Amino acid sequence: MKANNIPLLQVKDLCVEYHIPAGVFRAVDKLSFSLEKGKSLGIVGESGCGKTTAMLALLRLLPESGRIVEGEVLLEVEGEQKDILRLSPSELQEFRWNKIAMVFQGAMNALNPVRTVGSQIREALIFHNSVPKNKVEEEIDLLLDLVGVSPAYKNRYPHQYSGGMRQRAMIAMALACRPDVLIADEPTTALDMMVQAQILDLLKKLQHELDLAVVMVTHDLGAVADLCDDVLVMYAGMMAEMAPVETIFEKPVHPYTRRLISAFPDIDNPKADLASISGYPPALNNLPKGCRFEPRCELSTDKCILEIPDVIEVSKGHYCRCPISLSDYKVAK
Amino acid sequence: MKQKKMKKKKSTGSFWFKFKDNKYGIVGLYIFLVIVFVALLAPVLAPYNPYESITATKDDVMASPSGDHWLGQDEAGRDILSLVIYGSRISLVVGFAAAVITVLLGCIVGLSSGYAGGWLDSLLMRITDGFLAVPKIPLMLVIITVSGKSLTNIILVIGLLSWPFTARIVRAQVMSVKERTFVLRARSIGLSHPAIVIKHIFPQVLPLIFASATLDISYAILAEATLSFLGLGDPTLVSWGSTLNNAFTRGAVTRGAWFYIAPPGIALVLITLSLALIGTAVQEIINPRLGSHHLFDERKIVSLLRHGIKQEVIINESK
Repeated sequence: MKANNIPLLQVKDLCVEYHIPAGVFRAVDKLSFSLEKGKSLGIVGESGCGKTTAMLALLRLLPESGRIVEGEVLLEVEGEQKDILRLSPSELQEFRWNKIAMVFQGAMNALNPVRTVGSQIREALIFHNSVPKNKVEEEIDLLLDLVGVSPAYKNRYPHQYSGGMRQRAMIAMALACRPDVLIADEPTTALDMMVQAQILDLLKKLQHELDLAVVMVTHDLGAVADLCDDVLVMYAGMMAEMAPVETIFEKPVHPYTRRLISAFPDIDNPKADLASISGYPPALNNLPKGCRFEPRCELSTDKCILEIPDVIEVSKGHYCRCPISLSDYKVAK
Repeated sequence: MKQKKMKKKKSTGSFWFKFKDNKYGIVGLYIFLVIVFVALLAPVLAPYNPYESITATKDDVMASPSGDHWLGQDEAGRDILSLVIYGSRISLVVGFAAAVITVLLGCIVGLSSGYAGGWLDSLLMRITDGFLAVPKIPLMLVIITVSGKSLTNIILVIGLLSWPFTARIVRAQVMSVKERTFVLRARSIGLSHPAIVIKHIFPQVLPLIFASATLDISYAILAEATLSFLGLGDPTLVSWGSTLNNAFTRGAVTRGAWFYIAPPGIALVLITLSLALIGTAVQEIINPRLGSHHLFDERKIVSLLRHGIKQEVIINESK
């Protein structure tokens, strides 16, 4: 066995800014998490909270205006940790897709509409030489079969696929080089409930069969509950809370997480009014000095306005960026 | 292997199948094929050879149509039908050759400018704007006058001055395509920029290029006719434009020799029209997003039934 204490993927203090004419937008601020082999992490948060930006930063695929200001993205390779952010372009190419692959948001746009699905999977296989040339076609069939698309559909175009099939094809593409880490960016968005469930089942199946570590970005708490081992809740570019999935749902600590969960319909009491969180997230180019959730928080104190709270370990594996709610939580217990 | 071959056949087959259903496209194609056919077989089809010197009597000058000369004779006694038939060769050669230059330059400029962006884009687009701003026909007249009246010069001048429009269209399309997620995905796989342009962006621009190429051909044909009509065509060659020029300068209008003016004019209208019809039809078909959906096969069967039983058998064979 390799050294067990090194996680497969470890992100430390990742900060990403967008520098555009309108100003500097800090989209991701001091984001840290780690992921073990075969485990899955769900990243949830509302639109624009930096989920996708953080994922693109992991692969160094940010648009030109995006800058990774600081942080480390450590990936375990043969017992050693390598920092993706400090790799040379050629090393980076080796890493991407071989070690860490991504299922991009919006399957229709992530497939080239004028090329067959098979040819787009072939691209990754040939570029990375992951299988011998004469085995490429077999491998494509295998990959499609793995995600539940009939290999007979290999030579069809994306527009001939249904929404669910496109998403499956995207997953097949990401798996082409058998990565250790799969980043799935909103894999179930824009699909109907049945297909969503199928895609989640597929991801679960693949995770177990291939021993994949999955990072799933979503705003669907149900999907997270279904698939993930750990959950990271983001708010305005910062981690609010991170905990094992049961803890997040049963004993959330951060006020934002609590409100988020109470805004989600309860299957036992479907007629109850859904709670909403009043106000808006702060503008990323004009962030409050203190806690980012403070303007919308009912527990806020003067201290919250003045400084950003530190991350506190509530229990093992349960981190929260809110000291106020913690004392509140302990009293309640 | 066998299956792969069949698939290929099916895809070209379905292109033709859709083209066949497009009435305008078919009409355009027929007109165009007839003109190409006439141009290729000109020496066989033309009753006389307009390049041979003849001795004309006074009666031959702009003689009206007769049994020997179906479309009459020009001022030098040459057979007008033969002039028009031979003229098609020059029009087609100029049209295709100039369009190839136009499309190549337009693609290179449009793709690199649209994909690279930044200073390269600004530079190339300012050059393009410069070309677009200058009125083309007067510039062509000047260049031809200076460089000499020859077929090569005409082709080069038309080709080198017509690309900016194509470049503009290609650039606009490239700029929208390069922002799409599949380009990001291709980049994340590790494809180089040239590979992304060729494999992912170019196929998206291709239908546009195809449709604009047919327009480029007809523009080049018209430009050649214009230059020849203004007396700047290659004097050693017979083209529709030069025939019109002769007719005009030798007073065909005042002599009422309609048979001298009408045939080359009609020929020009026909070829331009046919290319426009083909261009529209191809654009409708080659863009896979316009035509179909994953339920397309069912629709195909429905439309097949309309055509009767013969095609139904074909579908069974392909399955």
